[in-house]
Amino acid sequence: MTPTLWYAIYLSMEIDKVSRDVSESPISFILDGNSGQPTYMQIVQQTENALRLGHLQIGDRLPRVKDVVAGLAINPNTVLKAYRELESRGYVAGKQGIGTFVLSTPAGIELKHYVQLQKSLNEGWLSEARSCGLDNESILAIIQNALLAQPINREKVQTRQDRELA
Amino acid sequence: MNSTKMLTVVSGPTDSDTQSFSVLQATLILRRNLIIALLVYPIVLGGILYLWLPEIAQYSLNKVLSPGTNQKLIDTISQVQNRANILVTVLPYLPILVGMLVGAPLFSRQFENGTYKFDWTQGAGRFRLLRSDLVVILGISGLGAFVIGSVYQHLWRQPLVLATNGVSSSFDSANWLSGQIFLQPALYAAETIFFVVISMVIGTLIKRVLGAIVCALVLLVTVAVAFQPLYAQSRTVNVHTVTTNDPLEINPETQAKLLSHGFSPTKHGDFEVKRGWLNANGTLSPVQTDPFLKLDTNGYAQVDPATGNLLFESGARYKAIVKKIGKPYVIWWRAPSDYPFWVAGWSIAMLLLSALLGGLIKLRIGRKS
Amino acid sequence: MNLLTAQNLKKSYKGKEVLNCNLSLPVGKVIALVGPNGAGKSTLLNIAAGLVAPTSGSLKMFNSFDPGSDEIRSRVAFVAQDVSLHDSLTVAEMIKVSGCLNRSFTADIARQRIADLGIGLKKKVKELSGGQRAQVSLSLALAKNPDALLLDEPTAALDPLASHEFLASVMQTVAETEISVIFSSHSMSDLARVSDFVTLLAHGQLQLNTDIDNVLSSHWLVRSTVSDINAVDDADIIDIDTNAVVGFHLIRSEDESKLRSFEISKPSLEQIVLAYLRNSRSHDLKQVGEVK
Repeated sequence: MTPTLWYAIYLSMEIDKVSRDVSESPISFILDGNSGQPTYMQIVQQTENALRLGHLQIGDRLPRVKDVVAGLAINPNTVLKAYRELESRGYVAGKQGIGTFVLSTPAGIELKHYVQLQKSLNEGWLSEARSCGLDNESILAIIQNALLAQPINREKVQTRQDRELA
Repeated sequence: MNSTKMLTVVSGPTDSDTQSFSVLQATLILRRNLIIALLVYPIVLGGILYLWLPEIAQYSLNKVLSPGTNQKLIDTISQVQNRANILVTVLPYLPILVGMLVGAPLFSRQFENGTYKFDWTQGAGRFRLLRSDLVVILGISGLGAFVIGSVYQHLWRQPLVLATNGVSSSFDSANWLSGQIFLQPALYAAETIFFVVISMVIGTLIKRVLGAIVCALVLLVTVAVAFQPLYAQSRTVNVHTVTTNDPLEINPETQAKLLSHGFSPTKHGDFEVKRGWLNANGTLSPVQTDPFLKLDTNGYAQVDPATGNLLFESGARYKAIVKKIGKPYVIWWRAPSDYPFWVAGWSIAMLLLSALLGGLIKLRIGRKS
Repeated sequence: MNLLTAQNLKKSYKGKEVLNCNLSLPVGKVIALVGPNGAGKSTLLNIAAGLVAPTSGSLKMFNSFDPGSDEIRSRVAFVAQDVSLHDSLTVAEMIKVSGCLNRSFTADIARQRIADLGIGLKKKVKELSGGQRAQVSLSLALAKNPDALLLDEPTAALDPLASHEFLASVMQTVAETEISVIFSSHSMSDLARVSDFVTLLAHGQLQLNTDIDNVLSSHWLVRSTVSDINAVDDADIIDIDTNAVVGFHLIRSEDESKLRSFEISKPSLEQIVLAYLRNSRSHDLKQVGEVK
């Protein structure tokens, strides 16, 4: 989670500087070589986070493949794979020869809520779990079980697109 | 990451010059330093020769001499000869130097520093580059040698013709360009080309510059030692014409031997001399004087090998001989053969061999299994 | 269409065989040629570039062309290991020479790239840093508008930043064109991030030759004894874990279902490649042929 948090904070500081120019993408990607996560998944996740936090809005363009590749020195197919994955999840759509654009966003969360939730987690439940002597694996197991037991109620979750149209 | 530094694909017509396909131009750039050296050295050497022989050069320009000025010319020639002797002695060895320093590094350097990996993977390919290299390098080497040979011929041998002829109404610049005179520089050029190609072959066999140079040196010296006496003796006709008193003439038979074989007297009677005015090609001019050597019935002096050899020696010995006999006399050296077919034949042979070796280089640099 | 087809390709130097393989490489991919020193990677590239001829067998480019032909020389750009530019020439002169020696050369591509990278055109090649030389070489190669790029250990002598920038440049070109790339490398991280196809050579023989996705999906770390694994058919042990009787062995298998009874885990690409390299070193070479 940590890299994502860094990323979120970094972006929140940068967000005022980024101008909403359609030809440029508002975001860029980083690579965490130690995360053990495949590169394309990192791109997928970073994009989803950006969507959640509102750095990417509907109609924004994702970075051009060649720009990502120039910065990260990775194979273009990896980027394409990530974009395809995002497309299959319904977030983006690619227009041949023009680029890949945001179609819809997941239920977003404003940064202040995000920070708030983070804080309450750290200071509340998490510190309690730690004081019980639980290690990371045990904690993750508890959370996973909890999520499995409580499926997401899709109707309750509005996409940003829905909110805007309303 | 800063994504502004990215490749902008240039579309539409571009303004700058499109570099067109030209292996020749590539060769000129790649071998630039070599080409400059090959152009500079003959100009420098030729220039030095030209500068050191101003008076003679002056006479070469279509001037006709009157008998009275001969002595001055003769003295001048002697002076110049002493002065330029070193340079003239070096000239026969120049082809070896050029071969060694130009031909040997050409390919060996490419192998040593790996630039062949770049050169041979370009669209033009190794054989077009080779062809261009051969044409340019051999062409310029040959040209440079021809220039030096011409200056030498023009400024050295020709004045000697003058000197020994005395008044030469037949001398004009046409002679200069006529077969005999022309061919000597051609031989020199052919020899240079031949030696450069031999060294190039060595450069494809020994793929280190230093090793190739050393090997080329050894091989070229061997070839020169073996063959140069045949086609181009190392010593030139150097005629000091003397006062009207003591000229020498060579028995025509002896002279024929000398001209065709680089003959050196090995026994008494091999060398027969008569004194008289000598031309550069060894023929007798009409003026006769009293002999200082004992003559036989034909009017030829029998010279023992030692004295005969003395007659072949360098200017430094001149004084010794003068001292011995008490008066100046003609010394003449073995002459490079003027026989046109001889010279032409050798030139052509060397050029043909060069072409063959060029083919060998092509084989050597081809993709080997 | 295959980029490269090697049939019974053999090469010997001074009586010692350095290459002996059958393989075909696809077009349009970034192919990593890996293997220990002396594995034959450079030899394979040199043959493909038309620099040396095989001792026996054949190598064809784009299905049917001889590497030494005029056609291939203009379609394939080669960057040698030590870059091998002419040291005493300036960058501008190198561009000019390349233009003179290649028919479809677009000098502006080279000039623009080099200018974008901040390399002075008037500088002599010998004054450039290692990274700059590599970039100039790459620029010259790309200005030929090639269909394929052959890179022999392009990042071996470069510092990490130069290496990153070099690979980024190559990847940009891959993103923009249909160019095929074969690069040989020792670097596992280069392999993983940049290539989508891997060819593994050891002692001149082919160990692996397939898409990276394929490699990852067909290799497993299986905890068992050696004999138990051998009992499973269609599962080849690539590398035996000698540290324990019941160790984690690297297995290749097309059929995951056969391994369900074991505890399995997914190895990383690096682990897989290293396993093959270790395997090759022990000379217990399995000619595994092509993994499709």
